[in-house]
Amino acid sequence: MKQVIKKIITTVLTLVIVSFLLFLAFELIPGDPARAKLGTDATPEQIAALRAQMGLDRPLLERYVTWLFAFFTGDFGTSYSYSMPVGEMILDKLPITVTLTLMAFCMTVIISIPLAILMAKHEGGITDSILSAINQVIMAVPPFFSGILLTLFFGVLLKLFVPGDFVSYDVDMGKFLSYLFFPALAIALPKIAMAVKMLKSSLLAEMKNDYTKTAYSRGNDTSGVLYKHVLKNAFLPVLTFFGMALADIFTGSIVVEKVFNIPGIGRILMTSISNRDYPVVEAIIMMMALVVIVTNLCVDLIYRKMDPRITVE
Amino acid sequence: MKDASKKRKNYNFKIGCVITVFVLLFVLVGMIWTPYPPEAVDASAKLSGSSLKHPFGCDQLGRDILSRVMAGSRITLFAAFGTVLLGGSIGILIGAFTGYFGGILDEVLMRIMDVMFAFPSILLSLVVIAVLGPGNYQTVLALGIAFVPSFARIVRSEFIRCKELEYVRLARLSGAGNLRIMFVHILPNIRPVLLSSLMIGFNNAVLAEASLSYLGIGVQPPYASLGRMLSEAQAYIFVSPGSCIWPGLVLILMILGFSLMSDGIKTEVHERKRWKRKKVY
Amino acid sequence: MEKKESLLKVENLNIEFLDKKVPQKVVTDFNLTIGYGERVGLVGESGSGKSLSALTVAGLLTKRKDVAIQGEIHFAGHDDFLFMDEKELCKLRGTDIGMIFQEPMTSLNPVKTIGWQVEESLRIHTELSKEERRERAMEALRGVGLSDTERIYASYPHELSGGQRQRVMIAAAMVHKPKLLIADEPTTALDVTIQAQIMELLKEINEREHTAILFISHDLHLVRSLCSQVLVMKDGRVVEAGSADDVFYAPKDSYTRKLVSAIPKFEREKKEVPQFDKGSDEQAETVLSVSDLNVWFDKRAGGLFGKKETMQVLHDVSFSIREGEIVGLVGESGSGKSTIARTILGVNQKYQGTVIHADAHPQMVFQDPFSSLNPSKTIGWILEEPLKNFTKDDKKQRQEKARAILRRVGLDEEYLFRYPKELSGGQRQRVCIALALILNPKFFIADEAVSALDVTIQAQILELLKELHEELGNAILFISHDLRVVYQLCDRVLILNQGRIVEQGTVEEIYKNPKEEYTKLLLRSAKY
Repeated sequence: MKQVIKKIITTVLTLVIVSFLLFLAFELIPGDPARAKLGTDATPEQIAALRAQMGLDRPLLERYVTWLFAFFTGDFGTSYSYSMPVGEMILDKLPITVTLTLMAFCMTVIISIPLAILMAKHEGGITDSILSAINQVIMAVPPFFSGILLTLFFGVLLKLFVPGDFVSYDVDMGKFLSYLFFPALAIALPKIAMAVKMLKSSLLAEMKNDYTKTAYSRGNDTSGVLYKHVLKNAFLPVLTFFGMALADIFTGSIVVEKVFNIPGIGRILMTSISNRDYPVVEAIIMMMALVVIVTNLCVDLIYRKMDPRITVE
Repeated sequence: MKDASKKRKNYNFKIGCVITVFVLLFVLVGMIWTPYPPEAVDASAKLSGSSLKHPFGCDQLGRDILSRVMAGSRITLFAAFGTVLLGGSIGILIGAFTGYFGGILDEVLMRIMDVMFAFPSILLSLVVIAVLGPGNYQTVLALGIAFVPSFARIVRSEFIRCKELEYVRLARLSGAGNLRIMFVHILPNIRPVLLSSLMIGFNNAVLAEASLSYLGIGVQPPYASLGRMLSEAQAYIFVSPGSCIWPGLVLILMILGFSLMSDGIKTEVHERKRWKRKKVY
Repeated sequence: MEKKESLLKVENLNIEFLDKKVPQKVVTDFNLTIGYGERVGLVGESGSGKSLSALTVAGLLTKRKDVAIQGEIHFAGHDDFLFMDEKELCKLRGTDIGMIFQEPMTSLNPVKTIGWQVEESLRIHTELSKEERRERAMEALRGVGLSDTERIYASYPHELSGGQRQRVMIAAAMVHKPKLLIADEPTTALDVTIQAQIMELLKEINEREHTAILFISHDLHLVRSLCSQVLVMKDGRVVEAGSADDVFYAPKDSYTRKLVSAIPKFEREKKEVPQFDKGSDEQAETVLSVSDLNVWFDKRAGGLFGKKETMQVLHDVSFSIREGEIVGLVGESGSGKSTIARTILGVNQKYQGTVIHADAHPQMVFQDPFSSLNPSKTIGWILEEPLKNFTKDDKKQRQEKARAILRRVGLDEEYLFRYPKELSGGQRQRVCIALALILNPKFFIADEAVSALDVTIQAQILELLKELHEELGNAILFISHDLRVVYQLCDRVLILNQGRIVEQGTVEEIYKNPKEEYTKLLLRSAKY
């Protein structure tokens, strides 16, 4: 319990450091946002007034603390280009990206674990060889290209869905979810391939450990050894991978949203980067960082629960 | 069973080599000669499919896709190479020093590395690009920075493992100084691990660069990059699927070659380690 | 009816590995008979095929597809044991055959509780209820001499000591009261005192439960203390079989004779203290003196924010070594032996007390010959390294010295250009000794330098050390856990227990007439 609290404190500390670095990074951008907003023909007085209004004349640390507090109370600042609160811009797009992420993540977990066990069980056989080869190739396909291929195959050739015909969740939930299936698959495919490879090699490595010999000597058959003894041990290193995969999928959705023309968080982020709309960029990246850090915390806590050795060290 | 898997993995390495050599040749030829200048427009052949004149067909402006893929893979390869060079050299230095010396420096640096590592490299490079603005050098710099932690972590853990080994202690008794131990005694021994992780890093760099260019914030025009070509061609996917497929295929081959090779090296290392463990009484 | 008499009968067992290009025969014409309640030992050095034969007897090898097995095994009324299908075999494993292994830490599943693992064979083979299983497990745990069974039942393997883990392994193997217990090097990873306890336990179990034991070991001595029948294996063949006393005292085969003579005994050929400055001990130069050495280690709990705890590993250690003397330092794991070595070498800088040695650059021979040579360098390069760093010799002189020292430890100069992986364990250890001697020191440390070697190789290296010592007269601090080896080689001995030197004196004195309880215990255990 003590260690859990300690871990949470470390996480909060990490969050503070990350947010500060992020804040600092955007402070280092050359140019004055007030001048940028008003154009070149603004008078120094106008600029000074706007600077005071935006709070730019106060010391760095103070501005950081206000920004952080504002972030956690849901006030993400105002967009430069649209002059509207960033929160509003993000809020109704967030469910799209989150759904996409969760769908892809569930696919990854549900498909990869049984597949890896199957391949490990029949290691060296024909099924394993063929699946391994396919796995290798899939790992080499970038998610946006797998998106294009899926569009080409299922959209253009088989006409299973209409590329670009996105329906928002508040219009028709069913259509929304079914449209997200292929984008989610596009993100999930390389992750599945990687997870399968990792879990399989982890399973095989654990199978060579001495305790499997003991397990056999007590009368277990191969399945018994695999499910009762090896699986939990082999899963531990993969757990970390799944944590990282969740974060990866969340940020990877930026790219796939573009492939399938989905108006999610990714699209706002890309527009904002090209418009140099820093408050929006800052808010979205901070949000993604939050997701990454919280995921890591969760993974760590689950790991602690699964591996009895950790608490002692 | 053991034998079959071993054979297959050695196979992996060979296939990987063949693919990589093929891709490198493709790029090398592209540096000297392309069928057409990559920017040359043949207005009559807009969005045409494969033909004798244009083996891969032409894009929406009538530019020869084969020539553009050749030029584009060169850019992608260079960007990935630069990324690995930058990220790898900084990562190795940080990993070697923190792993070997440990202490407060290690604690602080690795905490930062851990946080950075937990972040997807695309996200990290997005931050750098958002700050620096898009551009070719910015892309390499952004990716290079984003890749430092993964190299640093691997090198660090290898150094931590090696510094407790008896041959390192023996080297110290033989009077080797810290730097000599680090770079003359330990570094050659982690070469296979390093090589394989550099190859994986290279793959990730190819992937990340392509993704950034696809998003339009990586390599900037007029340079042709595989990611950018894909994003341009995607609008015409109904008319001319070929303009999507060819750049993607080269991208896949590029990544596949290195990942197979790195796999082969890893297996080799693993086998050697097992052999050793078996021998020790 | 003959079957009734023998529990296990192995006839003409042949094992071949098929995964090499040419099938490799690892066990040839192996025969073995074990009667009910009998204790049989199987002795051999690494690579002799003893463990493989045992695995086959346990039915663990038949499921591997890369192995070809021929022969016949009769076990407790099953005549076709070797070719029974997996399902039938599973019914026998854990019920009639139990097995324990060398490394109790890795042989237990790290993420399951002890109770779960001890109960496992009951869960698989019986219909007992949860409470009954627990009762049986508790009984088994008590039966292997564990107290505090409630705690142990609920704990995980990493929370126990090495000896406790091996007891748990035995309990788990015995919980279903098997007819045959196969013990594959069960004490090799343990300290001598614990080893003696485990041996005692095996004997007790055999007498109480009437379980036959097949005991596999590299240590002929140990086998003799437990078993009535002994088989000696070499290169996959049984070279000698017979009653333990016959094999030990009147070995017929030449290899067995070699094996028996290689065992360090509690009889010394070398009766007197060496010739160097004999009779004028006071004048002999002291090459190493350690006085009032105290070492603390920081034990930091929980990373960056953990509280610092200090643990004293050495308490007021004082001793000295004179020129030309071989001093043994004996202690069990965790006694602080290695810390003393590290402090003398200057690797450990945090200590109180004084360490004075005659050599500017003290050298050491390490335990594991496989990790102590840099795999990416040639032997020549490794040997030249200290000369490069400490002397002003040019390349030619360095090579000449390396060649000379290599010849001195009995290796050809062609080895200069070889890589460590091309050498055998014994050859590597010779290189390590050469490396320690190349600066021509007055004194060096050998830290468990022969512990990782097979017994015949061990005898060769000990012989080499003796020769070199007579020739060159360097003093040696010989660190070991093996009292017999120390007795063979050393002039004086220091007994270390939990960071304190509890007793020191000449070897004869200590071995013949130990004063401290701990020394007596050690000696008793070692004579096992």
